[in-house]
Amino acid sequence: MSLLTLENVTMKFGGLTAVKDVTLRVEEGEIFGLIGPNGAGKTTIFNMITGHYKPTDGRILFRENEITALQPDKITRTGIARTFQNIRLFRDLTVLENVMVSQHHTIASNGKAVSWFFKSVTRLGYSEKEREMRNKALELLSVLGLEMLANEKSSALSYGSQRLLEIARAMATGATLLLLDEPAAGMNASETAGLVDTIRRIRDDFGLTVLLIEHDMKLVMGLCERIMVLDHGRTISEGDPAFVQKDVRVIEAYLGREWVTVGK
Amino acid sequence: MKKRTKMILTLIALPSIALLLFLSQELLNSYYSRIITLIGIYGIMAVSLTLVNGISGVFSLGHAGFIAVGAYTSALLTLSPEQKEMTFLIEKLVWPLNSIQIPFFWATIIAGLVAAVFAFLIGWPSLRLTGDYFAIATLGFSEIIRIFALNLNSITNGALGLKALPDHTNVWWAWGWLLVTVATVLSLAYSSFGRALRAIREDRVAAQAMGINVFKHQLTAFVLGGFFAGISGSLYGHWLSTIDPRTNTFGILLTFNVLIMIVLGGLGSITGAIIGGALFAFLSEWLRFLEGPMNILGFKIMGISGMRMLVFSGLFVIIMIFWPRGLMGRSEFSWDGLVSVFKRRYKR
Amino acid sequence: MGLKAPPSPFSFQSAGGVSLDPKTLLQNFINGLSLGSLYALIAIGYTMVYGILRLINFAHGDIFMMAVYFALFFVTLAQLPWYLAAILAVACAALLGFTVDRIAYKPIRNAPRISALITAIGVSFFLESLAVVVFSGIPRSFRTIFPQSLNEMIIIGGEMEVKYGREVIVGGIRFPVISLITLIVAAIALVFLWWFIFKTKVGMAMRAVSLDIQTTSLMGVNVDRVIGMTFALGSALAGIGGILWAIRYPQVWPYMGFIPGMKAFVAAVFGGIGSVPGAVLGGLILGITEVMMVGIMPGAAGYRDAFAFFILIIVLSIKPSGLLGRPEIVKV
Repeated sequence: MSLLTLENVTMKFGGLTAVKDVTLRVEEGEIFGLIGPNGAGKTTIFNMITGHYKPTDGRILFRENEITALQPDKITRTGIARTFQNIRLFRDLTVLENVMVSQHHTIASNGKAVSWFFKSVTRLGYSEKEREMRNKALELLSVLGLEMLANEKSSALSYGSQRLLEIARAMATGATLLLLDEPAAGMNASETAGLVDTIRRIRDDFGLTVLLIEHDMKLVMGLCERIMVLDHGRTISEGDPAFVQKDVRVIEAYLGREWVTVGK
Repeated sequence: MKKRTKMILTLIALPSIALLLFLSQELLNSYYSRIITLIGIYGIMAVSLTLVNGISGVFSLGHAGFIAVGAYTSALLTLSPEQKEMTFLIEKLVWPLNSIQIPFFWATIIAGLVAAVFAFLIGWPSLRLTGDYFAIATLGFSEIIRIFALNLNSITNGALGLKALPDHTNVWWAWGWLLVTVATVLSLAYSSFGRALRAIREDRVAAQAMGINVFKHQLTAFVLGGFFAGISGSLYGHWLSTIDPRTNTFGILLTFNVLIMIVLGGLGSITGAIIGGALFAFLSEWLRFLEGPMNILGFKIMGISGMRMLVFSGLFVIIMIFWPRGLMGRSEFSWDGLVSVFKRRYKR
Repeated sequence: MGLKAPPSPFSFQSAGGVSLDPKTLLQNFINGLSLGSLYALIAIGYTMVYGILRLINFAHGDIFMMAVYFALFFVTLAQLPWYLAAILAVACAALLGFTVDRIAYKPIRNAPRISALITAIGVSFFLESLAVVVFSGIPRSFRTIFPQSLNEMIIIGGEMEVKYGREVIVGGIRFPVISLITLIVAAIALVFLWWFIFKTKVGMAMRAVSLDIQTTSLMGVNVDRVIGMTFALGSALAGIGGILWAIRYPQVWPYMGFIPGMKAFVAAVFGGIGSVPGAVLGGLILGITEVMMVGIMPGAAGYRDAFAFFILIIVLSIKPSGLLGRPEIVKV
């Protein structure tokens, strides 16, 4: 069974079809890349997976359970977390708080919410759990090299650090599938290389699966084990990097792009 | 500053405040001692609204409605059956209210609970709406409450209102409840729950994406805010000793006044809310001179009634344009903060 | 005789019962249409400003109030004839709307929406307290300003009868002249508005700005001036509505704009906030249903104002985009 399955998923906004009949399978433990020219529908697919959009047609399954059109917070609680293309950190909160917020749902879902509310108010039995969350958050921050900035306001961080914080925040939800939306945007060559290492490391150490959208072809070809190419909402190619690079249809879609010569 | 020092300072501060309150009742004349009590009540109103508007990121304009509900509920419970018999002239008060009388403490708690129920019923449909619409919806509900209060003769005595409420509210009730409110809200704000609320305030979509059920969290904050608003209503009604639905005492003017308090003090700061409440009370009294005859440079000038509100609303607009963070911004009072203020002054 | 159930707090029956006489219904319909067109005139201002700035201009209802006071003082102090006073008052209302935008809303154009909303509330209270200070809070009467002939009744049908020693017309339909005049004036104003928005350059600029502020400003349009014009236009319509309102309900006091303003806002939301035809439709429907409700259930008259708020809650819960509005898609 695939970890994540999209079956014939279509997304229409009024007269505009953003995604047309896309079928996608992500296997557990792999790093999967979703690429395509701007406007191809990549972020729309992310938004459908995370429940922000309801697909006009088709189904989405996570571990064989249907998650189509569930509320976003519910989907996160089943084990899928994401980063955002335009960074959406909690600006007024510190770096540490940003990561701790993601752990909140583990103590505040459904029935437990009431008891945790009263415990929060009376502070009984609460500090133990708080310390636990704090330690876990610091651990995650150090994995991404951000532990020195723990008490800074997240809005004070550099752009590259903010992107890394988004990843730490997503990981803190306890998710097993990470959706990374252009994690390398705005990074230079050395930062990108570092990111490749980091993503591979967190996949190995934390047993995660990664689905990412990217435009930086060096990163995609170097990191992803499988790639799907979208153009105008449709799948135009799928396979491992070597295959996709040479695929004529892909070259056509990216007419004139010099990355064609980059490769193994 | 060391943690132990801070704890000692806080432990000293509380009885000191209590001592100051005691002195205020002994030494000041009744006019000013009543103001001190009022500041306590305003504090509860402001802190409860801060929880909703400042920390959770929803914008409620219906606070006066919950305060009114609290005022009516507790009044109907503390008035004696004979008084109710005399007051309810249009229609008799319904059973069992017409024969109950309970102590002020319990009446206040029930007032808070009833207001909380109202907050739940109002919040449930309204919190599905986005910012502006939610504000208008709560305003609408607050007005509906006022209109019903004006018309339900057999429950609220309609346009006649409730008069001669027993004089239960004193400094100790007001500030005691203020302490409870502040302790609860502060505790909540600095918990994981509070963090989640602030995350929702910063970015609702991202908070959802991190697994937080935004609706449930906002509703909880809204209901809690309503509870304490009801408590403040009970105290306020008994401070005024009259509940008159025809004036704007429990209408949108009250909501606006509480808004002024929290904007002055800093939207999002709990201690700021109390400071805002105190400032509002002082300014209200001090500016009274604008409404009476004034002696300027030997000329006698007649004051104009309504000047105070003009100054307040003008001040409010100016603050919103030039100084929207208010006094404390989003931060709370801290011993460290106080020390650094002094340090800066002495460095020169 | 026998046991009577204690009256419930909601016993409308005890205060007059339900009346469904067709002649009364028609009368109420006409009055409702007239009231509705007043709501429509005010609602247009709300919807135009919201369409452009996504701001609920709380102060709009107070501009309505100010126009009435202006008219009052132009007649009493400046001794102007009533028609001149009315025109001048409307012009002043337009100017006031423009000024409020310039002074209070323009500096916070880029502030978060909540800040803008709070500021609008502040402006509203400022105008109200300004009126209290300048005009005094004591209610005044508009009756002396306009010719009383406007409040006379038009009577259609009915018969002469002798009642209580006098000749009285019984039955038939009656409504005041002002109801008819309101409908006519409102219709003229709407035609003018339609012409302005669709046939003039400024109107086209307004439509463009309501769709996309940034692109429009890139096209060389002075967006601030267009926004100011929008405020002025909406305020002028509110001013017309105000004066017609005051002729019908002659009590003038500083808070007179709050309830009609809120109801007009409800009408705008009901019709689809951002849509001018929606505001008109919403206003008419709200006016008609409000008057009909009171006509059919006279005992519920005290709850008349709550009725509009109920409509608001229901609309917001079921279809926030209103009758003619389009749902907003949030981009993530």
